[in-house]
Amino acid sequence: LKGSWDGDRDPLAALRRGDPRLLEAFVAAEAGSFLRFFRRLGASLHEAEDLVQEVFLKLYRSAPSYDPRSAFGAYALRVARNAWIDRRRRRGARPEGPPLEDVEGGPVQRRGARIDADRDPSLPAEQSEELRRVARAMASLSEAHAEVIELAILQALPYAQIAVVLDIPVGTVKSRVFNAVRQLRARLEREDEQEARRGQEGES
Amino acid sequence: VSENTGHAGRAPRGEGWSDEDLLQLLLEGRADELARARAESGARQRLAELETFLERWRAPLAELSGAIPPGREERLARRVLARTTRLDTGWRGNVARLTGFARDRLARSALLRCAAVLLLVSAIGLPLLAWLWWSGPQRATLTAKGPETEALEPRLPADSEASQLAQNAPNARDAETGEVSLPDADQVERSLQAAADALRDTTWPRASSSDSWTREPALRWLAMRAKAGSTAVRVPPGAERDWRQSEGRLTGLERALRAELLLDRLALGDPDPPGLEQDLAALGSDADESAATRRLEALALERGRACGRLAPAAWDRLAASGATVGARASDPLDEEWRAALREALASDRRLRTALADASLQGWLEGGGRPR
Repeated sequence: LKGSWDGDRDPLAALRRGDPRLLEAFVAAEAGSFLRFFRRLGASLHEAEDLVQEVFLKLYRSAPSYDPRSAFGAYALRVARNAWIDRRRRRGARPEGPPLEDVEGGPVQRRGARIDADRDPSLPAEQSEELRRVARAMASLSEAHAEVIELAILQALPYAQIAVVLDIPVGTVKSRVFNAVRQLRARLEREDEQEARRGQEGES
Repeated sequence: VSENTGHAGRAPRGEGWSDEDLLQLLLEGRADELARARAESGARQRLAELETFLERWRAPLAELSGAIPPGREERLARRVLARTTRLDTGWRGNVARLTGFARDRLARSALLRCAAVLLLVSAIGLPLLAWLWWSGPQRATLTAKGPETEALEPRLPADSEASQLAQNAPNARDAETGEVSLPDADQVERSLQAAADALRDTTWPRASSSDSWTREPALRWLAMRAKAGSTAVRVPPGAERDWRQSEGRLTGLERALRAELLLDRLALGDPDPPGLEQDLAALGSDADESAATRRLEALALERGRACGRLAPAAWDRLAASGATVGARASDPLDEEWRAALREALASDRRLRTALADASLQGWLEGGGRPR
């Protein structure tokens, strides 16, 4: 999320007090963050928009039963994660993306997500290549590891809050984040080596 | 990679930082502890590697969401607010939500868009087409059925000679002035009888396929004549009833054909075919008609005169037309009339396609001669 929404800036606590302005500010500021969050998890753009609306509606409707002592950011991300799990469960048998080997050199797909770095005109060629490598590396991770990379590295949540979002002990979060990062590093290093080898072959 | 995971759930403290500890310090941004870790020679290198890794790859990882089209986030936020804190519970709000939902779904699915278009066509287009169809001129339809029994019967015994009538006819036009006059009653009776005989003995053009000439509304009067002559042309019920409704929209050719049909009925025994006088009165009054059509009209006028039904007001028009007087009294389907019809059809851009029909063309060129 872009900002901190805990403590005095808790949108649901304010809504319970009868002040909707913080929630409105939260929606305006973080709609894009949630959109990107779902896109990275593997939702299409339309699907991600549906999910974002669903999350905000759930948050809004949960105001009467909301406990203001909890961290709002973690709470919101937990609602978002549950919405994503429900959506995946509903679409059930839909096949996940093709095996990684099938998409080498082409648009990278992971669990239905499509990251087409080649077709984004705003990206320089070098950056497109880098994105493809990152996408391939992320696609090689398990769902659980991809999830903690999202929460720990991109959302920058403290481990204690990740534990709340995922409903697992903090110790498990710690080892899971570490293992996820280790695997990602290993994969990216392999990608770098392969790239370097290809470069040498091209020169020779 | 260190296997020390003993600090799980707590902030890492003291000596012997594990990689897990260092990663947590970096991700949670704990400045004091990071400073302590950097002071330790054993942890410094590992910390730097992790830091480099995170700095290097954090941005590309964030980019994996792909590009979000401009304005999309704002629209999404507005939609959310319209359903939460700014929810309008009035009818305007309901309409806005409904149209927003429909627009959203339509934008997402090409299949739904196709279905919506089909629904729109069904709901609006088909009733419109139906209305246009039913409000348009009645069309003649075709059938391959055999001759029908005609209710009209000739009034007079067939004891007259057409040639005698033709001989009487020239007297109707004054040799010096060119003026015409009505024939006497005896001549009229003979003309009608001869015409009835000729009509019964005529072979009419047949309608043999669905794209035949009878589909042309302007020619339905000819189709009706064929029906009256008991041939294989069926005129749909209601076509006759529509005669008066189409009044004022008839072309000269249509009016001439209709007058011929009414004169047929007169010859075949109907003492007062409805509308005959009006049609005869209107023939030749439109100066914009083509020469071929005006000739056809003049021939109908002459036949009306020979049957004693031409109003004096129309005499001048007949006189001005220069039509051969008297020749049609005995043979209403003579060669001259068929040639005039062929010419009139050929001169009409819309109707000339009817000449492509082999049956009609053959009949116009001689197939209608009395048997």
